[in-house]
Amino acid sequence: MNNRIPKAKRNKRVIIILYLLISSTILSACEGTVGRREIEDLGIVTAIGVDYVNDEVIVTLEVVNPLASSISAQASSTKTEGQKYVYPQGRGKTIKDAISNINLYFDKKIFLSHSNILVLGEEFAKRGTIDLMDFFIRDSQPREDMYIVVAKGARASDIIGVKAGLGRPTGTYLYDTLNNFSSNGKSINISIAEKYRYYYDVSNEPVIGLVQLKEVVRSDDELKKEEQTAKVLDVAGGAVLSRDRLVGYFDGDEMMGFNFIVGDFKRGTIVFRTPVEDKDKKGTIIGADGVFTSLDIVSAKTKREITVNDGKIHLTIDVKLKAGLNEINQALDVIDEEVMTRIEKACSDKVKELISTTLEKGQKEFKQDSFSIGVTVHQQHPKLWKEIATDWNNIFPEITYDVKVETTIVKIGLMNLPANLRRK
Amino acid sequence: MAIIFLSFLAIILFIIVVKGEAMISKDIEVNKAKMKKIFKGSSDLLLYAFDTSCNTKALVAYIECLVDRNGLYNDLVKPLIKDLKSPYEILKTVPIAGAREVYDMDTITKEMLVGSAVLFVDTLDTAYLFELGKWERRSIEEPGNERVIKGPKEGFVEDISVNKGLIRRRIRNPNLVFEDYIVGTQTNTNVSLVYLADRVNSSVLDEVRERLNKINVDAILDASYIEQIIKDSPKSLIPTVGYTEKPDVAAGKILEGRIAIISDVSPMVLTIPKIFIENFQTSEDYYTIPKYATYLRTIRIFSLLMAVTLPGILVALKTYHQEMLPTSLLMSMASGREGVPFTALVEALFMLIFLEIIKESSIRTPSSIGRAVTVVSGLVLGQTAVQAGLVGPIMVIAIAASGISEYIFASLKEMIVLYRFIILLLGGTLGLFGVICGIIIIITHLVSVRSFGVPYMYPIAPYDKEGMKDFIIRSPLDKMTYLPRNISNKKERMRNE
Repeated sequence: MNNRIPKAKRNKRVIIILYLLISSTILSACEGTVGRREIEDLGIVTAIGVDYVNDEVIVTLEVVNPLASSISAQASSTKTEGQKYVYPQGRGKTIKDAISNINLYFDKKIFLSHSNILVLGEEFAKRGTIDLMDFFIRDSQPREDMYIVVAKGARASDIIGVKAGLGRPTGTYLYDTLNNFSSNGKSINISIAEKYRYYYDVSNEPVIGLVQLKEVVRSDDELKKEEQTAKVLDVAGGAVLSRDRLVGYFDGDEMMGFNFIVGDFKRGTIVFRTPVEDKDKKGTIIGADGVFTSLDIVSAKTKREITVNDGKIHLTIDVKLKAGLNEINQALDVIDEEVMTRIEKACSDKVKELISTTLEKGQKEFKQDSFSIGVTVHQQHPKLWKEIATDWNNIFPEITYDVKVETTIVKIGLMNLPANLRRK
Repeated sequence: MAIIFLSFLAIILFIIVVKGEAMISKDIEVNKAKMKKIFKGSSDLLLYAFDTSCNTKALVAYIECLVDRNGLYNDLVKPLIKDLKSPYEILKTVPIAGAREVYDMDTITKEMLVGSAVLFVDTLDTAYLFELGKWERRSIEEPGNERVIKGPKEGFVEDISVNKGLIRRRIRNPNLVFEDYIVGTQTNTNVSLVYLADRVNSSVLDEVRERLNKINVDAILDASYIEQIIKDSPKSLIPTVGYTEKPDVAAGKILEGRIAIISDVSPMVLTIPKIFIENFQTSEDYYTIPKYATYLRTIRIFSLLMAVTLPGILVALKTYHQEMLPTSLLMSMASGREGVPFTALVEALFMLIFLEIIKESSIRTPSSIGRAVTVVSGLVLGQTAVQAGLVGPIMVIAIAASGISEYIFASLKEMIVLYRFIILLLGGTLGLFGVICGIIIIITHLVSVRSFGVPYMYPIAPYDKEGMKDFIIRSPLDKMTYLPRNISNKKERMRNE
């Protein structure tokens, strides 16, 4: 094959190819080439906060100082003391503008790809977010799976910088706390990508996570008296949005109901009053008023069914729970089948109550469908949905519903008889 | 005119003289002088004249160190002095197998050079050759390059006849053929093709014969001379000729229908054709449990990928794709890089060249100074380089891991070292895009290379179900019922025809 090309021409080609290779190597190794950035020039951002004050966007970032962070204390040979995290803030007309303005006084190039948390200030959320959020899905740096939370009753700049837990950056701390969602069911973690999925969904108003500043008592002997409270971030609850505008909040218990309704409840603890003794049947259950039992939910399955009677929409929520007995504060004979049935029923009632409270709040207070019930209608009655889709937010507060909960206790813990059984 | 005539005469005279030189004279003094002339008075030519029992003079000529002196004296000289009745009964008197009569000096010269003693007798115009070759050779040891825990530990030595024996002992079969060649115009080295006549692929065999006959070099000092000359695509870095120092490995390859090339004075035995997966196979794979061998092969393939691509991928991630690193790793990298004056690419190149220097010096260091010196100096230098801020610690780990992985493949050394540089440059200039491009180019090359007509990536490309039984998964021995399709001509392994 090579013989077809004259040798001189071949040599020329080789020289040109070599020239291109070498020059591209040298050129692309130069500073300032597109896409090239050295690690040590980056300001690694772990959390982003966005506020809207006086018609200006304020972006607060949490940037890690790798030399001072504990992870790399051994790796670095030159141990420079310094702040572990710094919190540069920038103002601008848009988010990109604000972030670029940070670099006017901050030496490291802002690098957003490692941020897992986006905190929206309450005012910003109330104003409506969508017009300013485009940056986070259009730009290549921010992650799509970044959790998005609303700062309840606070600005984002107040939230960013709170280091509770084990003293890690706010971003990591908040991210891991939100990931606990699957073990308590009292919060929700929604990423940017998911929020936008909801945004295009006609029948669904998004509910996203929230974060709240709280003060807790620190029990540490070494601290002075005035320092004995600490700021922590609490993620219980959810922020209810209407399209992109904050309209209200669900609290922790309401979020449990919410997660049952949308079928997202993974694990969590249900606390309810221990059933009390019947008057005619003595000796079975001796729970007294004001005593609680906790059940650990092992799995929860939700089925939603829409039935239409005379044009009236009726929703049936059918929840099947599997639970483990976790804690009984009264001496109950848990081997007794009667006792177990009563406990299961009490648990079902509690879950029913949780669900109804949340649904009621959604219907009465927010008057909008935050539970994607419209989606269920669309799936089960597509013809009907076509007619009512545009008017859904007016129809939703009117629909009737009933809740069926069935609890099965699959584990009773390590004890058959509680230690205080003899007290009777 | 006269000049032409004179030169013509000179040529004729010259021919006569030369012809006379090649003849054996009846006078042993003349023969003695001729021998000295042929060997240019070299001091290792020994000439020993004595009187036989039938009162004729005899002259033994041989080359020192190539001939067994004890045998020479006891079996040749002693019977001639004591028992010879007539000069015409020499072959009857001397009890040496392989003795023969020769008539010209050329044969004598050639035979003396491979270890024969020659006997001239007064009044006879013929000479007698006695094969008494014996020389100092290394004893059979375990080869240092291919150590095994389980399995035979014998290794080839620098002697072709011993090596032939080592193979023959493993394949006791009349179909095993040794085909001798003499290669090298100055060194006249013995080279032997070894194959099983009923299993060898005849087209491969013809190809090898043709290439061997075409060899035109002055010297063969090691089998790798032959390897370089006969290998396919000589510009390629990919080894298309296998080599081994272990007779059990060579026997295994011959049994699969391959051809082995033994060269005198080399303990390396070449095997032809070679396919890609042979780089990952060791003799021990066949001596241990199949599942464990499979596991080891997976590790080897992984480490090849690591050896070639790890520095390149790391540099690409460090300079272009920081978002792909886990956050905590990014932070420790960033803190390690703090204060390093070079870009990641320069840092990696620096470490890589440094590694090559350490490797080279640790091989060449005299053992009396000790390997410890180079290892310690390497460690100390590596660590102080990090402390001095010349390189980041993660880069040292990556280069070291890549360097260690390379040692698994003695045969792929050249390819790994050079491709690693290319991938590193591509990764440092074009990011992961460059790394992927480099890998694609390497794979394209691997697929297009052939070893004596056999596709290098067999049995993946072309796919062969039977060949796959000894690919990454090493099947149990009784399940491997067929021979590799392209390498051998006979399909079934068990049947004997």
